[in-house]
Amino acid sequence: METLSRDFIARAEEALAQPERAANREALGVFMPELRRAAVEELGGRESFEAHREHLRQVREHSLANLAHYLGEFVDRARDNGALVHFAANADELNDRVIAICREEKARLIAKGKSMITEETALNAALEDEGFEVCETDLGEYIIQRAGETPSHIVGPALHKPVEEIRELFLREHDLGERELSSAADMVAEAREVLREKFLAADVGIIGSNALIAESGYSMLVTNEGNGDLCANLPSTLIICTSIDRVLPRSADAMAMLRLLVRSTTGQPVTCYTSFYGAPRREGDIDGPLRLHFVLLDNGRSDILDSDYREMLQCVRCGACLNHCPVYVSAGGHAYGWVYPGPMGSILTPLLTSLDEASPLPDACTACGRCEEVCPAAIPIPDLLRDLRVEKFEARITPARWRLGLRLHGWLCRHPRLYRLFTGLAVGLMHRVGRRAGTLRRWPLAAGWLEARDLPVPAQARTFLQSYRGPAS
Amino acid sequence: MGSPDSIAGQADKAPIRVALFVSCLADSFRPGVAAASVSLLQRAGCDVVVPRAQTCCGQPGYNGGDRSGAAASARAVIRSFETFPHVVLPSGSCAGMLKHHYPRLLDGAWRARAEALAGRVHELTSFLDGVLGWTPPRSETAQEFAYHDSCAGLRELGIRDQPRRLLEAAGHRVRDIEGSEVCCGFGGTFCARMPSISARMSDDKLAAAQRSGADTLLGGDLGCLLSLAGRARRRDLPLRFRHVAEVLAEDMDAPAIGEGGA
Amino acid sequence: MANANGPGGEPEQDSERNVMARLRGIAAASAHADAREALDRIPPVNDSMRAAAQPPEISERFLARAQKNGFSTERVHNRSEVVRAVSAYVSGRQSQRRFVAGHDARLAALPWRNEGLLPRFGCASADDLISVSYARCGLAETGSVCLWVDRDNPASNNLLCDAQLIIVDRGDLLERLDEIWDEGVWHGSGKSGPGRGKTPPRGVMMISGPSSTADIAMQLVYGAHGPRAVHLLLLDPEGVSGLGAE
Repeated sequence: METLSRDFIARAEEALAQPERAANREALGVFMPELRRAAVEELGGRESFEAHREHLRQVREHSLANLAHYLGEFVDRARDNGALVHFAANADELNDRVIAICREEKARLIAKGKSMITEETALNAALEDEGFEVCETDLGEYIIQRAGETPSHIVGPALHKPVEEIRELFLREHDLGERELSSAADMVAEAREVLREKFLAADVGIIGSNALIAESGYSMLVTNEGNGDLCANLPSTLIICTSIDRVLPRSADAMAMLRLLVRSTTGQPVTCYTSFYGAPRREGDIDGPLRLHFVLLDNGRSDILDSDYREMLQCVRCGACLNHCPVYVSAGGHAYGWVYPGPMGSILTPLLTSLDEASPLPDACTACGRCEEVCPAAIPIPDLLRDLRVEKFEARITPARWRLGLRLHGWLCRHPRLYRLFTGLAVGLMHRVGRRAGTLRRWPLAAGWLEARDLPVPAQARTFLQSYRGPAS
Repeated sequence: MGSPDSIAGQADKAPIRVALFVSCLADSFRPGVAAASVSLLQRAGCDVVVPRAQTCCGQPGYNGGDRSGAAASARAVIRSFETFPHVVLPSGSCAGMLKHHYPRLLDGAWRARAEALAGRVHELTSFLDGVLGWTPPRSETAQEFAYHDSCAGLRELGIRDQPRRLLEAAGHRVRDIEGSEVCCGFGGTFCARMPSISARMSDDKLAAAQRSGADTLLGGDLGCLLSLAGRARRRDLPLRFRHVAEVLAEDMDAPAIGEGGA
Repeated sequence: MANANGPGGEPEQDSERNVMARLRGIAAASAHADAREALDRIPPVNDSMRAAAQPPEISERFLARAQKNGFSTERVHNRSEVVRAVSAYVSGRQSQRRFVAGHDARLAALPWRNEGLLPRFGCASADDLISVSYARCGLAETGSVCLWVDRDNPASNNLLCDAQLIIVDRGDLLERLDEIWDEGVWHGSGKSGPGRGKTPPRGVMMISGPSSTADIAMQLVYGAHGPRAVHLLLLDPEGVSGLGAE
């Protein structure tokens, strides 16, 4: 997928100017933290949550430290189970592999469950270029596919769509005659009918995976709609597209992850469907795919594993950091300009594309720490964002005036006498100019601050250190 | 209501030696906050020292990617403050910087020195309430306030109840504001790099503060207060902003933050 | 896919070799000599849920959770009551007496004709309105039921109908999520499930409520793609005189 992350600020301003498209997001920013908080209470409160996430963190850390071992084990088990396993070093290889399978199957229609990996590789466009019909079946993904848009949230892709837009979209896209479609329930019922036909007619199903379990060769799929399960069971071929970092050693580890994943995502203790698929149809089975393929994508993940950002691979894609991020809630998912928005996206995007292309994202953070506090995998998100800023600074991607400003400030801070002299002069001047009004609306070098707010004037003509006469060391 | 490891009892015996890290924002923009901090600590039985060599804790460089500059600032702060048994700051984010981020920023012997210092660093209200177990006298002019929890104080240092306890002991009423755990949009240089997003966050916070019914918003971090006051003044909102230390020290002569007439 | 795992030298084989070699190279620094042994050293979560069988009794906790998940539930005490309950449910939703059920021996053994019910044993199609399934186990932790996906339990029967009835035995209730992978449950020994030796099923479905979505303006709507309603029958022979009896 094309990266538009460089325009983060402009895209965020666009989003801020569209309040009707922000309504769902703002509600999410209020309700999801409440639902999550209730779910944590139900789990036994904060201490219990901390115990669970420390366990999950250790398991994820261990899985990644031994990734070659567990991925190898998974591949062996999956092949023992009769699945076909393919590796893709990059996006093109994944798309080419899927296209080759679909050609081999002489497929016409492909039913797709939600998969961020295939968003990352822009698989739909690649398949459509080859003449295949691709139908997204997660309701949110279906809506944005029909609308020609991209996901704005990793869990709720159509979060930005107001009900009225979806109603108009369905009336336009579904040739079903005169009808009201006055409620969300009506629209869900209509999509159910339309998509049911697709499930029944599809030749290939493509889904993602929430975890690959090394000891059994199963893939875990977590959904509320059941669309992924229909994709996994009705078409004669199933392709599970996922990435190499999704491996967990044991079934019990998947359950430990599930416990925190769903609570962090929706506040439920568990989703309606949690399924484990590992094999094609067995002898005597009366349904299920005849062929099951896994396509395992690297696309930069081994580079992350080999970097100081390895902890980012612990991410379980729950979306809690988005729901709790005031920058995400203000700016919206599309502002981030690629597949993964919010705090996790601000780390993944520069790592999976390039720091240059995604340069504003590490700065899209106030270091408020709420993401880290709720992250079920205990990823130190603000620290990793800070590390990316260091790389930006050192690679001179940070604008020169900022680098110069920070360098000068740092230098001045290390020369206390000069610092006192300089701040004393500046404070005196500001105080004289602005003391009557209390704030300034113009001041050199303060353009960024002054764009949206006044600058409060120093309350006194001298700094504290200039005027204090008490004991000093 | 001191914590179990409170050293309140020692107050009668020997003064507690405390170094005040003023914080650069208090030093330049709100000297009254530093004066109030000195006064509160003295009233609580401390022997307060203000090391002259102090400037800024290094957060702008640390958060802005200038790691080597930030590390140099950290070393300078450690050198100036490590000889004191207690280091107190009227700022959650600066205290969090010294306590949690210096060790991460430095290596080797400097990291060990940073860690040794970290255990002795306290934010002002948590020091007065938790460590000293100090209770302010009843105020003659009890008021109602809304309180803004700064992110660093809340999440890095667990500061929430301490300022409220002190204010209530003085007879003030403290109103919570909705979404009190959500960032106000300051974020250091964030508010200057991404002003439109920052303004949006500030507006949410200001609206919540106004809904609380109180006309003054208090906080323990001048960064948040200066940026909120600046936004409120830009929008002509009838809200006032003060640092909690000024209220506790009953040092309310200066105009509120961002207000004129001095 | 004849060529998928075909002879070496294909680009795909190179990718597998390259990625795995890269991972092995990276892992050299961090990997444990004996990964599983290191894994076993990670302490389990020590929390209140581990404390076994707090009151109320497991079946009450299971049903309470299941209801929160959006299941309707009913406690039945013998096989005749199961059939009566299915009959009442079927009558409440459609005029015909038909439903679809997998080849599970426990389903085949129920006295359907007593109530004039007409089960069709096999795989659900798009025309079936109601399916009846027998769960492998139920989970008190989450109020979920687990069904193995195998010859006796086609996945389609969990997905294609408007409504589903799922029977679960009181003796098959488990406390915690992890227990569904325990040896006894997995291979069917010691439990009422029809164990089929050591071959794992091609899939396992854990169902925790009717299909739902909140993708339109965050409003919760049931019946997204799968069943709009799921009715759980807890078969509890001992519950007749027990405290949990209705």
